[in-house]
Amino acid sequence: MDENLKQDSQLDKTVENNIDSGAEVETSQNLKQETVSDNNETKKETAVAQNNVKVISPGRMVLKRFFRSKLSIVSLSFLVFLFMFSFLGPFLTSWGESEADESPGAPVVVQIRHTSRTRVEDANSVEMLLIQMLAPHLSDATIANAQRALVDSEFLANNPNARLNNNDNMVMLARLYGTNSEGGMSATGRVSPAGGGIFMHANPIPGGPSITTPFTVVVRGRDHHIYLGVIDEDDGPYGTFIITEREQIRHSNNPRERNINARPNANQLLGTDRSGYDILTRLMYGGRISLTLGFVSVAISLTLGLLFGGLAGYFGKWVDNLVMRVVDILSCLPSLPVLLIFSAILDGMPQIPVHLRIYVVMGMLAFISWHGTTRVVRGQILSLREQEFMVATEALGLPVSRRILKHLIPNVMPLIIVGAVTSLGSMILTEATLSFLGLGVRPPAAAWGLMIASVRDPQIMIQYPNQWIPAGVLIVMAVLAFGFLGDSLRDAFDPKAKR
Amino acid sequence: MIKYIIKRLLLSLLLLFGVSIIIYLLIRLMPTDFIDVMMAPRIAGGTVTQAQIDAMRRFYGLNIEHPMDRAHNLVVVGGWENFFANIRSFINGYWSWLFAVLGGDLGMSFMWQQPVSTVIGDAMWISFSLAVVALVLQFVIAIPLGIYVSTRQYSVADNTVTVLVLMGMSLPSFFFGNLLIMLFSRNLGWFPLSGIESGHLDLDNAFRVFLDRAWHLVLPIFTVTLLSIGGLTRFTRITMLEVLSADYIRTARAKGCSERTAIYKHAFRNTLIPIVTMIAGILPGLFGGMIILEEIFGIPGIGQRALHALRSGDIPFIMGFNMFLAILSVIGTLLSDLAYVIVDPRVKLDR
Amino acid sequence: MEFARVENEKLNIGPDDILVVSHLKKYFPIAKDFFGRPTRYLRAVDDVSFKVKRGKTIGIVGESGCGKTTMGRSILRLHDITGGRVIYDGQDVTMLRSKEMRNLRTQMQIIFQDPYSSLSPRMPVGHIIGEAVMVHKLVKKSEYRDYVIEIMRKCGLQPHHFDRYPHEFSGGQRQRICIARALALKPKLVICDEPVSALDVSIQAQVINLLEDLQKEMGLTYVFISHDLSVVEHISNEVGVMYLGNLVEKASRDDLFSNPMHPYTEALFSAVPVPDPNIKMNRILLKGDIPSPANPPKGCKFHTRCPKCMDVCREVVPKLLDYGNEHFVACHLYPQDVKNTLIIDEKEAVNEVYSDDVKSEIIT
Repeated sequence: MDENLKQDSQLDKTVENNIDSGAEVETSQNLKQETVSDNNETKKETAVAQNNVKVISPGRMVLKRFFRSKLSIVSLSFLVFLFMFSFLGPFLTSWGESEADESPGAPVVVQIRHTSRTRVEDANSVEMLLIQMLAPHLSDATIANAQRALVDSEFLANNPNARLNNNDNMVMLARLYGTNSEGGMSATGRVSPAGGGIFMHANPIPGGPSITTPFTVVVRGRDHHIYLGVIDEDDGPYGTFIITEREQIRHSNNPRERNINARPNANQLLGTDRSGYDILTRLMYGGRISLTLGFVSVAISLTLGLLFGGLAGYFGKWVDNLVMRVVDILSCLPSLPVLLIFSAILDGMPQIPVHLRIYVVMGMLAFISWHGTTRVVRGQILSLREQEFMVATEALGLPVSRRILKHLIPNVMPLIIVGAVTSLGSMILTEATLSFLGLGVRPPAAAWGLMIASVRDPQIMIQYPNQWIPAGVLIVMAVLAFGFLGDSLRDAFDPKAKR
Repeated sequence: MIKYIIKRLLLSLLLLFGVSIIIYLLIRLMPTDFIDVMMAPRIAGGTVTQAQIDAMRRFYGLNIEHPMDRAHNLVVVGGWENFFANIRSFINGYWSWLFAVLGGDLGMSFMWQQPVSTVIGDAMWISFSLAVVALVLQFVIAIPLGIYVSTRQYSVADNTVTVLVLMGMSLPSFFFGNLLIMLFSRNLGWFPLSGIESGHLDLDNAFRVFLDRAWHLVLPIFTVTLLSIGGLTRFTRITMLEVLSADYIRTARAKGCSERTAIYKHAFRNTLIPIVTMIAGILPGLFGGMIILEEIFGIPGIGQRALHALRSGDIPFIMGFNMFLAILSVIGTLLSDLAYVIVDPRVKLDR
Repeated sequence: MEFARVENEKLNIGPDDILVVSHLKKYFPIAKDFFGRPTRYLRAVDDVSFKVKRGKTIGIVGESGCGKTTMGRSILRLHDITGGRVIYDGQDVTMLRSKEMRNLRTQMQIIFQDPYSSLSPRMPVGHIIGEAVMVHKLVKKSEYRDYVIEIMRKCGLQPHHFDRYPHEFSGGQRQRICIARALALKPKLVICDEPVSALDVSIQAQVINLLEDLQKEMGLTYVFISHDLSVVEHISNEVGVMYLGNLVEKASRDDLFSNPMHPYTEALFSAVPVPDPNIKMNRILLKGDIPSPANPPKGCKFHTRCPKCMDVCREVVPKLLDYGNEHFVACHLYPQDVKNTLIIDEKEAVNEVYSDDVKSEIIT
């Protein structure tokens, strides 16, 4: 690297010499000869000094090389744009992060609940009922059964707007187990959760009301939960029948109703999501979260890495041993499961207010990654420590702190900076993963991963790609940009290394 | 050599010890109530009453003193005055758990009412089948690709591959997976939505079962492979570049070796060395499952189980699963160290 | 601060002996047993003793790998000393704590071999030279810049180089920067570790001249390490020849070059090319390769390659003895019962070992 730099600066000097001191013929001749005597050089130097030769520090050379590459300029500009988009953008839009579009005339979401209870005579044979999720891939016969059961129940009678659509992929039914002739269900024990849900069945009560197995029906994009069961209460068992109709879209003039799932329009450039929030605005706020989380976590991780890696690399022996054993242990921890555990712990601590949660998440992310930084820093310091200029600083009798701060660290920084920029990219990915799983920031706050999570609803996946694809695209581009930036920085710092 | 192996083994054991302590500590801090966690949203919504929950508890046997419960005192009592009590219960709980694990008993899963080791063992193979195919595909595609572009540095092919590779590494798995589902399962209908088997299938015909399963796994494998190729390609490329520019390759060329011989006989073998060290990272991925992808594609592998367990607070399973992953990690590192010593003739051990 | 005063009489140290190296040993552990205790050592410096008088230059020559650089650095405590003693200006510096050592460093400096890697790449040259001066508070803040520029001038650098960076200079200039850096502290002793080996021949001459001028002007003492015999001949008052960590011969410059006594020295000198085509060179070719310092031969370390090897050479280590006019040789060709004037109590000197991890069986 030194050779390269020297040649670069020699080249600069040649150019300037030829331009500025044309009379100095001796100058170019000197440069051409191999054996330049120091005396001649001194003379030339004096002459040149009067021509204001630019001093090019190593730092400035790095910047020059960096801006020479088109890729770095492109990625840098994109990141600048991203920052402005996330932090300044919200001032330009008319929507807030969790501000629902409640314009009149928009479609409406309503929650309807039907409840009824019946006394059960014989309490001995009943356990309890739980309703859970749904199982895919049922045979036609099963589907027909479900439809019949639904028709038989009073549900449809009470809800003239409900429709059954069994061509739609989105019909998901619970697994049903046969019907007896009275229309009630018989129980066969417990279903394994392989289908993704937990069921338990009631045993039939002889002479009592028939108990239907609970099931869930999706009707034209709507989601209903139907709960039937027998519950043991203080005064005896009760059969309970609860249907919660979640989102029923109806047009009305009620001003408190929300504009959900809107298509991109002039008011909301990317449309609205299920709760009526403007997608574009939420993208901006999500960007704030991702970028902030990324930077803070990387900063923490970097500090810890510099500290411990530095201690380990510089002092060696037992310090090194201790730190590296800890790092080894931490690197064996599986990162995603541990993050999930952290989130669960966080959930179990109600004392932590919601807005502090994000800082704890930052700490979690940093905790997962600092062992990597420590290793890198230590390796770099180990290799630098034996370089002669470091031995020279010891020979000069400089105090340890000065040697570390003024000599070691500035030479360690390039690798660190490159590593930090690249980790920013992976930090953003991790944060998105966490919020996708529902463990990062919580709704109604916005995060890119959260926005992609809405894709769980098949309706949204197919019919409203504007709700989840932009977030994914932004994630990819942000991570890409950081990746390219890291690559370009690495090239700028050390052009002789193989890319 | 034997001395080295023994030394590494002992170190690995110590490592596992340390990891187990940390995992145990984390899990002790988790909120423990399985039923409460599951029912929390419903209690909030008013659909279920506390009495119903108590009945459920009775069913799951959570009101009985589970042997593991007693040993663990799963709830951490707050307050400074309880500090030492907490530490004591932590240490006691840890030892009893450790001995159980050493005896092969990873505890009983709340959710599935089966020994954790059984649950892991059953689900592991599904994840494994997915991972191993993806791994083979990865290597088969990425290494030749990396070698190919390394010989054509700065060409159009090289730049394209670099960009694509970087893109692959930037894609979030859940995004890409869902994208593929949207395109191929829902819109085009080429592949099934989720799960690993169709409902109505003649289970006796093993070949059809196999085909069916393969058909289900195409999209997940495609996703995994695409996302992981990037790293390996890049790595191969850089290693090959370093090796190819080395003096001994120049000598081989000067001696008249064909380019092909130079690449495959001399350079490639030396590229193997760093690749072999990647074994460490591969092992946990092979058996540990992919939490997110299995969730998206509905594959009942071990990753999906882990997620459900976590969401439901099935603590024995979580502990067992994390230890399982940590053990895989440690074994992977050990194997990679040993492999490195075998493959690289320059590494000398104390004779 | 009072440094430990050594019993000068025991070691026969005069007031003019600014540096006394007594049975210096530096071993590097290369193999460890299961618990991390070292089992085998690389004996880089294996019992080296010499004295240097104030204002004089001792040249140390030898092949690559004979331990010269390690010895030079050990003298300055840049390595931890495994055995033996180093006495600077009457004070035993072998076991000084780092804080005291730091204060002493202003008096003992080193010039490194590689001018490219021995300068911090990201510091301006003026600061490289003057940093230690500032840290040790040798001059007032107001006079600092002038002081540094004065040193730079002395070393043949221009004042406007103060703000330049190392990468802008040629090899010769960088070595001047290193010299300036070492001399800015106004030391009394300077270890020159092959300072001109990396330079062009024409520049070498200039740098050597500079070093000589500075020695006269500042009254410096040099330990000049090199593998280049002609340079050493030019600049030294005394010369020591090292082989595999041992000093095999040491004499005044004229004595050594006119009358080499050790077979190794003879072979070395015979290999120096003479630029006269009419003179036939009588090269003594040594058979074999230089053994590994991790596994040195028993007895006299040179015996595997010595053309005059005898049976006793294979078994017994020859002692470094004075054969008149302070011409020391370690060889069985010469009588082994001559009185050694360097160290009085040899047995005690040999058994002085300070590091715990050196097993006693090695020191025999």
